[in-house]
Amino acid sequence: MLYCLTMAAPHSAHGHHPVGDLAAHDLSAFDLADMAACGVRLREAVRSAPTLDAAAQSLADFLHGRLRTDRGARRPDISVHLASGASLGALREFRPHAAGLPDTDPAERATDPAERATDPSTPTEAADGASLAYRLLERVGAGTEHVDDTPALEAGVAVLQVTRTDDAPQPHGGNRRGPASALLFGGPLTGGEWFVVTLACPAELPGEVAELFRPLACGARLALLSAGGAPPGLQAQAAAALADSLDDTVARRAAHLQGAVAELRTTEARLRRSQRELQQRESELREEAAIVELLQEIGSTLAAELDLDALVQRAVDTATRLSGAEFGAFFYNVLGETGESYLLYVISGVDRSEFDKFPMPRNTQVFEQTFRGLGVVRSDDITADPRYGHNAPHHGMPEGHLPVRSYLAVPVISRGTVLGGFFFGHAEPGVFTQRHERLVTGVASQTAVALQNAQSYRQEREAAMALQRHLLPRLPRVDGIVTTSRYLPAARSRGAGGDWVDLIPLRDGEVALVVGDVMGKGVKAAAVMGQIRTACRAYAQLGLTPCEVLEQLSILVDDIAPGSIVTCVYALLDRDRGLLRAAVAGHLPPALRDPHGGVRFLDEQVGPPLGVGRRQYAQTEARVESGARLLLYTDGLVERRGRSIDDGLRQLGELLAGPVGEVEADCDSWLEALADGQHDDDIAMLYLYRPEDPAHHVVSVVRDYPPVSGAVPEARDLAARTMRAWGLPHLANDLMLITDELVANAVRHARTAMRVELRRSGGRVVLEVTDSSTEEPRLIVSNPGEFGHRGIFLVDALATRWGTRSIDGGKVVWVEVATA
Amino acid sequence: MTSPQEPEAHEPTSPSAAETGSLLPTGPSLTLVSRRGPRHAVVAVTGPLDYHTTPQLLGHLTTKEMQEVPLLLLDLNQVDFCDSSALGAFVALHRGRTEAGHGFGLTGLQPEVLRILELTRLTTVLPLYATVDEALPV
Repeated sequence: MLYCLTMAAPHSAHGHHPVGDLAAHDLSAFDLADMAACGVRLREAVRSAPTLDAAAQSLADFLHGRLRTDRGARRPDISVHLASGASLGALREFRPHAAGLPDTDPAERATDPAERATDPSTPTEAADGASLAYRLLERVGAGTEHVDDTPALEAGVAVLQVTRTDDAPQPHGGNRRGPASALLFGGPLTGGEWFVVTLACPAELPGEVAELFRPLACGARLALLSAGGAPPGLQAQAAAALADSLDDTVARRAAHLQGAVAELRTTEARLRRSQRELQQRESELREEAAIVELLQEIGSTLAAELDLDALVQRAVDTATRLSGAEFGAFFYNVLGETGESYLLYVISGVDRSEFDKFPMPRNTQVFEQTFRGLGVVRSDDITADPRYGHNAPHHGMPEGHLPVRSYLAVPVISRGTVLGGFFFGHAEPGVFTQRHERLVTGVASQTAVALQNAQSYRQEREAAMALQRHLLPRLPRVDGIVTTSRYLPAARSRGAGGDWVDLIPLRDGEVALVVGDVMGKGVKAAAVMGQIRTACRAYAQLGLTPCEVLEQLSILVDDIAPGSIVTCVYALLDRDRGLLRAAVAGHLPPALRDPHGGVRFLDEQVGPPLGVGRRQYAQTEARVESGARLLLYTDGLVERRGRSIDDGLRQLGELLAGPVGEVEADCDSWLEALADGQHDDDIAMLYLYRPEDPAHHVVSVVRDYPPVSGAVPEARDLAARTMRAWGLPHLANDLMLITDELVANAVRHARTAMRVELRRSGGRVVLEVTDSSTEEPRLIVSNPGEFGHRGIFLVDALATRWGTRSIDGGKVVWVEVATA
Repeated sequence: MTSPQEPEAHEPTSPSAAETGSLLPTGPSLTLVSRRGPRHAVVAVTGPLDYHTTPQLLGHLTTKEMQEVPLLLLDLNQVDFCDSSALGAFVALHRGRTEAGHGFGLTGLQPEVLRILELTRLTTVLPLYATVDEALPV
């Protein structure tokens, strides 16, 4: 509905009414209380007027004084019109007497209604109220005979709210706007007379204002009727209409309010719900962050662990703790030196003996998921799982197995290969949650990475060791002397080093003994070492003296590796006469122990290192008597952080002067005393013993095994075959049993790869089993009828002598059996 | 962790772990042949009894039927070697069955096995019979 009005009311100035006048009712927030207060005051202000016209004027004044259109002081443009007669021939207009303005004679404002009717939309000054009044009157059909039947009249009044629907251009140009909305109400009085009140508002009014104005319209009609001296019956009717209208409005407002309250409650509940959801989401996120943090921490701890045994134990301990399991196990695959794969396991939460009595798990329907890397199995009660109990002979857990209801198993997979599997158990059902599964899955992937790390570290180190071994092949056995050698790369070092030892049998009962050290690390040092060693062998075969050999080597070093510093000892031993001739090039002096325990270092004639051009080296001579021992070594043996070389040499001298025995045991115990696995530099040793008995000679068989039960029968067969090959079949049964027990002991307790060595030396056969565990074997004589520890008892019963010795990162258990 | 075994008649097998890409162990095994009498069972063992094979024997004997048979005899006629793991198993079987009110015995001991039992003085603990018939109640 379009209409255009100009705001020309002279009273539109609002300075006369204080802003925030408490007595004024804000139409934009008109409510039931406003309606009630306004209605009472309206009737008081109007009903006592002497005439109808005076009452109309009072009405206009009252509304002007009491209403505003918003929080400011803007007032609606008020006009009150009285129309008389059925024809509604003329409108008498009443406008409020604004303070400070002269009263206008209402009669002067009379407007020709016909003129208005012809073009009600034509805006003229002060005519807006009239045209709107006509619109209301037309709408309700005022002026016709049957006014009371007019459906538009409710309780004897009509209320109309008009809102402008577009921004039509103003006819007078400019940008002044007409009122945004208008509120009209009116109704019939007596004698065919009508009243119409027009409120033209600059702002849009809320929709419910019209409804609230219906009782006001009834009140205004009642007051006008009473001022105009209407018959009491009509007044009573109007009063009743007012009461009905009030009831009706209050009822409607109440219903509306109830609806609003109900809606509010719903909204509040919804808000509370979404707040709960927010809190839950937040705690989930926090949980998520905690899991990620925890897993990262575990990951970095695991990744730093290069030792496989420590790594897997740490992984299973961590995962068992995080899963809330009573116990956990980690089964993992390890590749042996010859490429075969074997299965090992570690346990957390209970003693390993709980599981040692069972054979390795088979590919049952339950385990298959994990062993083949098909996915995670998490069960609240595995005994109720459809996959459980199908495999003979146990159809479930074997007798004596720890009870398991809650079950969680997670494979550890890397690049499509199953590296291992975590298994967790709990006697109570329903222990493992989604969160446990996520944590353990996280640990599993961290473990996969760490296992790869440890494996590649081990491979690198083994490759470096293999290179070294290749450059330092096993030294030959030489009749008349007993020798052994050691090469240990620096602790926690990956690279090959430049240390070497050599033993070269020559003609005429002579043997060349060499120890050397190319300064520097890595493949370059190892390569230089390889060349020098080869050249040294060639010079030795030429029959050069020690001094000549060193002189030639010095020239060679200058040639092939200028700038390198190489130290070396070259010695020739006449095995028959026990005469030693040695030359030393900047190297630590050989140590000689005479048969009576006297020790001296051959340090009288130490020349400069190799690689400084042609040099003359002096020769040292010494007697190596029967029963004497000679040690050549590199500085790694005596040099150590926090200990001077002199202290190291003194300590070595004391060790050499102490009790000595088998050469292997001597070397190992000195290494342990001096280096203890903490050496910063590589260590090379060449140790020689000139036995009293010149027939003393040694043969040996060496074999490596993985720590699996299958190693036991294999090592046992090796012992039997070797005894027969050495012409000692009468020892086969004993050696089989001893080998069996020692290897089984290493598999059961050490759980590391092992080396089995059988040596025949004089009238003795020596069996050595070397593992990488430092745990000492114990001899416990078991009562008949008591399970366990019979292995060592059997060994003790069959062996002539037996013992153990610790070596770098492990131990050797040795057993000696007399051949006759 | 549980340890299901192959079903009854055991043959020496060398299962290949590689065939399924799984983690399964490999190795030789015993041949175990069981004969059931009305009140006894005889398990004839062929192969060395050691740390490697003893779990297989124990697994075979942990079935309900084997546990509840009144008399269990291990026929060791085809066993030319046993080690401390096997001795431990014999002692555990003997003790467990005695406590449960069942009988246990070893028959057909070869010289090397007998020597080991003597070394460990178990001949005074374990019921030993020259033959299966000698062990069975008349």
